[in-house]
Amino acid sequence: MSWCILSASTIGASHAHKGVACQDAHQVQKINPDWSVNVICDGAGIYPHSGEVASYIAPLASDLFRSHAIRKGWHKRDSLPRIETWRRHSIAILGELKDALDRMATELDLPLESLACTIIVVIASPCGVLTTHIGDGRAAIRTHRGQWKTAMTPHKGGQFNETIFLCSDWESDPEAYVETRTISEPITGFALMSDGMANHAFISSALTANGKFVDPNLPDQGFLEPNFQALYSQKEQGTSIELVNQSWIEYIQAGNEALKEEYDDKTIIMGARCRIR
Amino acid sequence: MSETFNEKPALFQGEGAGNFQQRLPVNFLLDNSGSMQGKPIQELNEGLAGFREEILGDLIAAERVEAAVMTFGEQTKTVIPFSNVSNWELSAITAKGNLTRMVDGIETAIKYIDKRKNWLRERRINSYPAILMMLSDGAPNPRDQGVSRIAAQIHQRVEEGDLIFLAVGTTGADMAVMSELAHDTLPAQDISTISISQYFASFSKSMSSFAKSGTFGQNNLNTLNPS
Repeated sequence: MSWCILSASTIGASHAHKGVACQDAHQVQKINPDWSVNVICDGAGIYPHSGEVASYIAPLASDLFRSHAIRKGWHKRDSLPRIETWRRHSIAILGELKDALDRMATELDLPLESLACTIIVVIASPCGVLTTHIGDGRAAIRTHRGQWKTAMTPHKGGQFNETIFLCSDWESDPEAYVETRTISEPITGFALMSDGMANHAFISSALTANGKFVDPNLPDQGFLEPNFQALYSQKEQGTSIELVNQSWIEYIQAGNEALKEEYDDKTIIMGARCRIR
Repeated sequence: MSETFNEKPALFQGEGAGNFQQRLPVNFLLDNSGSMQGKPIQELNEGLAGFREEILGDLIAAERVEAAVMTFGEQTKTVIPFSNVSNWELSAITAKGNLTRMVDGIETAIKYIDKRKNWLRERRINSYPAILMMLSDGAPNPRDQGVSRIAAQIHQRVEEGDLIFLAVGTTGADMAVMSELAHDTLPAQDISTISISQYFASFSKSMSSFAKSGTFGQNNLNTLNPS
């Protein structure tokens, strides 16, 4: 068995209309066929350099987390670290990434707060996942029974659409701003996504009996499962991952009316445990 | 010839439900044969726009009602697929052609409802009995389309409690056929004394109230009764 992973970052209708580039970026790297490091960064739309920032941070974060995992040898033991260990290490690496942003700000002579992007990291293994994130977005795992379960809680600020970024002052209160999880159970799939996919692949809004909207933060089985099955069956048939991924990108861009009309940039990474052929 | 629903050949077809509210599927099956040209089709378009506004004006109804628009004349077409009306892209329906393939239209509309209810079931989303509202100003043309057969199917579905069928006849409609199609519990409605848009306004209010209360009872029928 091995992780077969699809990924796509596509421009939202709003940015396409304004002629602005996609401000999401992602990176997928494997440690071995069973362990993969998956990162998504979502640049803040209000700052002009956000796309570049996301494109800089995603591969850098992937390298740092991957190197760290290799050094610790988790993949050799096929076991996840304890939550305290993972949290301590995650915060240290996120700090390194923020330092990199600080240097970038100095070089470009820009205020640090204008280099704003969120970050989600999911390290997937057969025995579970490690997650860490700053800001919004969503992540989910798929159990052996085919059920999708939530793997992170997006940070929501006081205002609509407000969140926190890697460049923000999260170090003053990591408890409030950095979420880390170790989910130690065998998994068959995973997904992580930027905020632009939240309305498509998650139940992110529900109306309560008293007329208030809440965010249940539940993976949308109707979106994730058929797509998971499509990936799985294609790999069973021996289709190359590059070919499947091309369909994936087209689908995320405009596979249905809602995806086509989504104003925000959309990034999603989905992995499935498949037999190696 | 009836349209079959577009089975997307695309590899990936997952689609999010948007919300987990219990759904009220409403399928408008509208006659757009040539006789509907002019004022009737204009009123019908206004009626659909009014329906959209009415449902959007209520937060709960907006999340629960998901409606489709189909037309029948020479052929059956899906003009707007099932979705919450906030996603509706309304473009004017036009009337043309000499044929009124009413039975094909009903058959296709019921299949589409079943497909949508399955889609909801797969996502573990409950739904109320679906509403199929057929509006026509005529009669099946050609006549031999199997009205009795489709009427029996409608009656069975209504009696099983998973379909509410509204046969609405505007000026010129063959109310005998409409009555044959409609179930005794919800007789065909002759709306020749009012405008189509007026009827749609009542219907929209009725659907909004149904979506909130979850019961389709005498109150809804009274609202819909043009007299």
